[in-house]
Order: sequence, then C-alpha cells, then structure tokens
Amino acid sequence: MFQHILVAFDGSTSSQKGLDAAIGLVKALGANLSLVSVEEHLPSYAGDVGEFKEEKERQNNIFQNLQREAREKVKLSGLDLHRADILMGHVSKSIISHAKSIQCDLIIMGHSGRSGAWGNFLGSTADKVSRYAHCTVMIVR
Amino acid sequence: MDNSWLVASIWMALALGASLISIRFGLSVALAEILVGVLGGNAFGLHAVPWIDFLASFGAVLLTFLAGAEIDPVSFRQNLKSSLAIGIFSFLVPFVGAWLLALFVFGWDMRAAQVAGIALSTTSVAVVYAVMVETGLNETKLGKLILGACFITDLGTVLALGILFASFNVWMVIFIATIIPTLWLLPKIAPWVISHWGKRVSQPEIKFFFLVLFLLAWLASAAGSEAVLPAYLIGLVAAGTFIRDRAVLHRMRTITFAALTPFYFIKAGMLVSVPAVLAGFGLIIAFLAIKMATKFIGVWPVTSLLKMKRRESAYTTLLMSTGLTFGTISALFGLTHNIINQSQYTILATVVIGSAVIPTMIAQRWFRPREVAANLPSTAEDSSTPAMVTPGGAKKKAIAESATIPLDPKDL
Repeated sequence: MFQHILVAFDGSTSSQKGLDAAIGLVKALGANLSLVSVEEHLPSYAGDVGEFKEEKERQNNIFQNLQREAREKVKLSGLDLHRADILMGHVSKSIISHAKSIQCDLIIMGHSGRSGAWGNFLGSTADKVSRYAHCTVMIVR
Repeated sequence: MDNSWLVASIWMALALGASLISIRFGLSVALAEILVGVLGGNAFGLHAVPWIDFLASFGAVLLTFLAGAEIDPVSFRQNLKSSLAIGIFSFLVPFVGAWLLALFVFGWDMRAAQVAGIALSTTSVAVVYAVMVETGLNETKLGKLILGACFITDLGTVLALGILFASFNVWMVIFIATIIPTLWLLPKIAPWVISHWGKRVSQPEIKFFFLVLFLLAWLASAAGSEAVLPAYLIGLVAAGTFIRDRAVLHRMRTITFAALTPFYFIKAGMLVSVPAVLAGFGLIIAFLAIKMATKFIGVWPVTSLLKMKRRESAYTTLLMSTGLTFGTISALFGLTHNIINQSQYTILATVVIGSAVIPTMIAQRWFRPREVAANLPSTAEDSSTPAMVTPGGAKKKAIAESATIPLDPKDL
C-alpha cells in the first residue's frame, strides 16, 4: 500500500509518537522510511553573517543529534532509514515540497510540535501539511 | 556612578528584550534592537550618555571588522572579475543616484546628500547570505559571485565614508602610512599571535586585534575619516587567518553581540523619530524607489553581460538592493558628525531598514532562480551522519542537509 513513508521529526513527544507509528507501519508494509527535520526561526534580515551562521550551526547540531537518536531507535527495531534530511525555512512548506520531491506516499507527523502552549489543539504545521500535501498524511496523537 | 548602573540596567534590559524577541520571531537581533530602540526613544525618552556612545562606536567598529572577516578569500578570487564588475556598479550607481536625488530634488546640502548616497549604496551581505543558504545557492558559482559582489559594494561604501569627509591633513598622511603596512603585515603576524598566545583565559589574541582596531580607529578619526574604514579593511585581510582559527572569530562575535552591538543598534533605533517617519513618508518611498531603481540600472546590465538568465539577473539585482548594517552606520555617522539632522537620519534609517525587507521579499516571492540546488552532503565536520540503506541493503551516506526545493507559494 505505502511504499515510502516520510516522518516529520523535530524531537517533540508528538513527533516521537509519529516515528513509533511509522516504524510499526514500515514493519507491516515493508516500505522505505525517511526522516525530515526543518530548522525554523533562523534570523531573518541579519545584521551580520556570523549571527546567521552560528544560529544555523546551533540548529544543525540539535537536529543532527535528534536524527541520530531517531536512527538508533529505528535500528533497534531492525530497520534503517532510507534517508534523513535537515531543511531550513518555513516548516510546513518545506515538508510539503520535500515530500513531493522524494516521492513519498505517506507523511506521518505529530499533531503539534515543540511548543506546548497549544498542546491539545492541532498545530498549524500539521494543519497546513494535511491540507496541501500531495499524498496521504497521518497525524498521530 | 549609581546613575551609570541604572542607565546600564535599562539598556541591558532593552537588549535582553530584543534578544528574546529575535529568538521568538526569527528576526535578526540587529533588527529587533533597532525596533526596541525606536520604541525606547519615542515612547520612553531613552537617550545615550557618553560612555554608551563609545560602546556603540566600538560595536560598530567590531561589526564592520566581523563583516570583512566573513569573506571567503578563495571563492572571492575565483570570481573576482565578475564580482568586481557587479560590485562596483552596485555601489556607484545608487551612490550617485541617491546623492543627486537628495541634492537636486529634496534640497539637501552637498554633504548631507553625500551621506544619503553612501547610506543607500550599501548591500547587506548577511541578508544575501541567509537567502543563499536557504536556497542552496551559496554553494553555486552564482551564489559565490553574488556574495563576492556584496563585499565589493560594501568596500565602496566604507571607502566613500572614509574618504569623502576626511580632513586630508598630516594625520591623514600618518593614517595612510600606518594602515598600508598594517594590511600587508597582519596576515603574517596574526597567525603567529594566535598560535603562540592563543587559547588562554586572558584572550591575548583578541586583545591584539582590539589594539590594532583601536589604534587605527584613533588615526582614522584624527584624520577626519571614519573608524569603520580601517576596521573593514583589517577584517578583509584577516579573513584567511580566521578560516583556520574560527574559534577566535566566534569569541570576538560573542563579545560584540553580548556587550557592544546592542548599544549601537538600540542607539540607532532610538534616534529614529516616529513623527519624522510620518512627515517624511513620501521621501522615504522616493529614496527606497531610487535605491532599487539605481541598483537595477547599475547591476542588471552587468549581469546580462555576464550572460545570466533574466530571472537570475532580477534575483541578483534585488538581493544587491538590500542593506542594513552599513546603511545604518553611514546614516549614524552623518548624524553624529552633524552632517545631517535627525529628520534626515530618520528618513535614511527607515529606508535602510525597508531595503533589508522589501527587495528580499520580492526576490523570494517572484524571482527565485529555477535552478534547484542539488542535495548537498552534510558539512565536512559532521562524521556521524545517519547512514541510510536502500531496500537492497547497501549503505549510503545520508543526505543530512539539503536545500529547500522551491515551492510555488501559489500552491498554498
């Protein structure tokens, strides 16, 4: 049914649940599993190149560590990642365009991200991705 | 002394607030500090005292030094001719255009009009760089060419700022006689200083750079020039050193952003008068339009001669129309040297801030190049990139970082 599953992953509890769900599906379907993380809130209209570079490096380190941990979790399940990408920019746009470019047929993501303020509501990222993605979207609670 | 502590507390509280705003909204801390300064100056009567003026000046000097130090000497040399061509016209045409507009249309005096020309001739390397990284173009020949051109444009700005208002007295002779050998010797001495004295708690290598900057700033100001001129030149020649020793640059940036540039950017914002923005709105629009129009006149033909496609030419030209740091430094120079008044400063500062935002938005919305940057491997330092397997089981190096594939915003 699904050949290539993409998990939107930012290390939040919600996205961890999404990854768990994806692992279960991959085991059942034998699909490929890919991971994508998006660096957001990089400083716009910076006054100095270094400000942007250092923040990018900081977020690179965070997401590379998160993806490393995710990969270890996937490996413990006897699987491995097809690919893992770290993008930057608008989160929902990046996920949508990346999903299209790698031709996945299912996007799995948590219902809300790292900020817990609206934890019980559907986050705007999940909302936008579910509306505009080219493929099926599974939102995990 | 007690009052100094209170003043310091107020300014640092504003700086902290600006930092938090920048983190929350993904704005640069420079822009956040300027906006906080506008609020402080207009709503709460915030004003500077002499020691804040000095810290702000030192912040501006270090900011321009750091700007120069970010150049990549290797790729700059590889694209030198093209970058020079674009950069020179990117500076010259807006400089002359804004100068003439201010002089003949708005009736500013000659020196004030020159400040307007300088402030509106700049290009923001930082804004361009961030856009380049987002699109992956920073790894392409086009991206490196544009970045190199930005450095040339800003070099034109600091040279104009340093030369047009200089006194040409004996101090100028001493300044020139000092800076030329310094620029030649520094790339040879700096690595030695870092390797022999570096990595100590007392940071002697950073003090060495501060000493060089302070001495040249003193000579520049004695010559009636501007301290940012030697700072930028020193940064350019030291860039090669910092490629090998990035930790030193990182520590200098930490000092600059924590303790110095907040005073500079908050002061820059504080001096913007909101009533003057409203009263001079027409001039602001006119100056912004002339900046963008003259950048097109200056840059577009050169990009066509370099056989860029039309979309890429427009994209390049719009990015070259941005400006922030050097524009505010130039405008503030004019105000603090009584060349322009607060209304004129307000107009120029507002145009500079607008030029950081508007051309960038237009470029990203309508003229993003169609070339899709190839998925890039992760940075060389990352040796622990998750490996990936194809369904057949062969392991491949994962692509840990890739450019965002341009998505037509109309799809959303």
